[in-house]
Amino acid sequence: MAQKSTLFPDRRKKRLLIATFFVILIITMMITITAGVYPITVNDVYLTVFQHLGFGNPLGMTNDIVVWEIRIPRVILAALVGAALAISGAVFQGVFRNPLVEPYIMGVSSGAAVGAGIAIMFGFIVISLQCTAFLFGVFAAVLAYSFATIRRETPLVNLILAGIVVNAMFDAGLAILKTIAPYGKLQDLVFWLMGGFGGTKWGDVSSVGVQIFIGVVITSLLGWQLNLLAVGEEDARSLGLHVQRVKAILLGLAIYLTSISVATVGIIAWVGLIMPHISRMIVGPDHRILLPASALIGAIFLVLCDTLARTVMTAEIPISIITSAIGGPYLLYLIRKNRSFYFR
Amino acid sequence: MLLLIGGMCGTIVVADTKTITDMRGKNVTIPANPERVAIMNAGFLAQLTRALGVSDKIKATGGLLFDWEDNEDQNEYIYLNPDFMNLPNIYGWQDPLNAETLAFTNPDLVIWEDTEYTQGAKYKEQNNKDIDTIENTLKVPLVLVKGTGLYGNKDNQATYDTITLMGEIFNTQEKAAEINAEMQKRIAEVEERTKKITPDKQAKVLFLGLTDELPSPAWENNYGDAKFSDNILNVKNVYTDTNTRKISAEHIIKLNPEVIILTSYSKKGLNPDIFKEDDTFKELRNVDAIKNDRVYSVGDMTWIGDYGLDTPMILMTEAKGAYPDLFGDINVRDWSIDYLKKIYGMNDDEATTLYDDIIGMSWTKKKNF
Repeated sequence: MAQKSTLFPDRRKKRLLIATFFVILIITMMITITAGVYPITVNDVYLTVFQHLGFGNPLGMTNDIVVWEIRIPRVILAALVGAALAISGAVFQGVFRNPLVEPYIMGVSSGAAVGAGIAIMFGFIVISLQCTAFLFGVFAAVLAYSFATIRRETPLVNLILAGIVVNAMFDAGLAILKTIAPYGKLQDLVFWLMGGFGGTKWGDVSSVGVQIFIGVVITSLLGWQLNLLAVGEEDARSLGLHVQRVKAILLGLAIYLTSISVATVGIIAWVGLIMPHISRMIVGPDHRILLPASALIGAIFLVLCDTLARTVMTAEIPISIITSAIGGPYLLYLIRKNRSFYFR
Repeated sequence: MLLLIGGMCGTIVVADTKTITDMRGKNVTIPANPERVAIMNAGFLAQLTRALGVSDKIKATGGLLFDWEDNEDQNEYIYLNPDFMNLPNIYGWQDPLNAETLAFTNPDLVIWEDTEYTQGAKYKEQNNKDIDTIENTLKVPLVLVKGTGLYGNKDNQATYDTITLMGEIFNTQEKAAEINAEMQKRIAEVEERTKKITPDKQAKVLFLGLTDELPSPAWENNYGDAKFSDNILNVKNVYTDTNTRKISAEHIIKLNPEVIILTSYSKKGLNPDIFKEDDTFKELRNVDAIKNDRVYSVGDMTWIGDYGLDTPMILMTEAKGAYPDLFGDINVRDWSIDYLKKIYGMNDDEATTLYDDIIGMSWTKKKNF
């Protein structure tokens, strides 16, 4: 992968930067919980939070419900899903050594969406909704990779074309689901596919959120193996790395993180593509730093996007509209700026 | 050829055909006694064919008759016309017309209901093409009728006109006039009481299409079950946006309505106690309407604003929910069952089953509403 210019080349400084991103994420979350359609003063928002942490006296019940039951779990889940999608994108880009690959472009998100859609429509659930989405996500990734690989080589153009084909296949599957869905379910299916955190409960945070958190941490700890893969598979083998196993583990984790995110909040496009790029520009290509940086920047990005989604208009805007509005132009900019690399 | 000029407005009878003026203002020559009719609608025409006693003349259906409920046995229109389940579906409206199926049924007439839904930007062009296919390719006469509140009109004139026109088509003018009179009398009963409400006394109402979880769509003043909120119900719709959109729990808490009407879109809306019984919605329990037990449901009576013959029952349910004191002397359940019996010529058991089990208004019995 091309070495991008790095603003912070020193590794110690990079670690400091990770800590800084974490602090920025916390500050972002603390600011965004004060935003919403229900008018609550900033002071009351924090008094409510402190009261739940064991300090101070209870405030009004409505304030408590809005801050503690509605906004906070939503902001936390948005952060976790943002982290999951961004780190998945970074893993895909690292494994395939290709900056244009990410779960959405490879068809994983569409595959997972079809799995979740089938589960919702027909009650066809393998173990759980997330697991069903995961199986379809794996299927999509295997399909794309198989289509793209010729004589043990997987050229960039092949991979992108294969991703387009797989996406088209699963999009057709989604279209069929939409066609046969009764009207009531169709409305839900369409809104769900557009992505959103509208119905988030603490239960979502404790179940899905914990899985995402663990997945993100484990993936971050495997960054050094991605570094070895980045020097080339032959060299990685000569350094003692079991290349196929490592790739399978990393891709499995990335697909799982993407799938449970999609199954929970629908398809949210572009996070997996642009967040790793931004992170790479800031911290460089070292995956030990890049993976946690991507997760944190992805979390910040999605928290901000979700805040826009729930506050810009009186009604909810599907969050994918916002991420696409930002992500699409950014990809165009990226391709135009690095044309010689992408189309060599 | 013997030319008979019909005494009814706009109808000219020529031997085995007659010419009527449909609701586009177009003169359409149709069979004098249509025997093989296809209807395109969301339920209003299905209600009318039963009420007029001509269900046996319907040979194909299209539109959204069967697409709404998962359990088709619970569909009001199937209950009214059980044989419709076995008729060919010609689709149309939100899906392209299946012209071959329509041709196969060999219809002598198509009756097409134009609604707010079909007039929407998303489907209008497709619907116009399908109408053209029926008239100019299949050469089948098509009579266009209109549903309630089309083109932003907040009155029931289109409904009354459609009932009259259907009477002319099927030669059941007398029954059509009875239905119109009954509907108008019932709606006037609501309107006469609510028109006395002054703006400062208007109930603050949220019309909510409750889905499996929030956000769920709120009906703006010109849409669906909120269509008559200002001019007949005389309530204040707390959702003031100009489009019907999904709103969050936080938004509902902010709006804090005195009354919530669960609209026909509500998949969970058959039980007004849903907010207290289902923890999915527990964050709303401090909202005035829920706290004070002022949540009401119109069951499955309407279909995205296509009120049809259910109009009086919907209005009375919403009006009593908003102004319980004003309608304290009316038991909505008895009033509605009596209306169903008169409109459809049903006995007490049939009407009660329709109201309780099919339309989903059994909550009125539990709450003595």
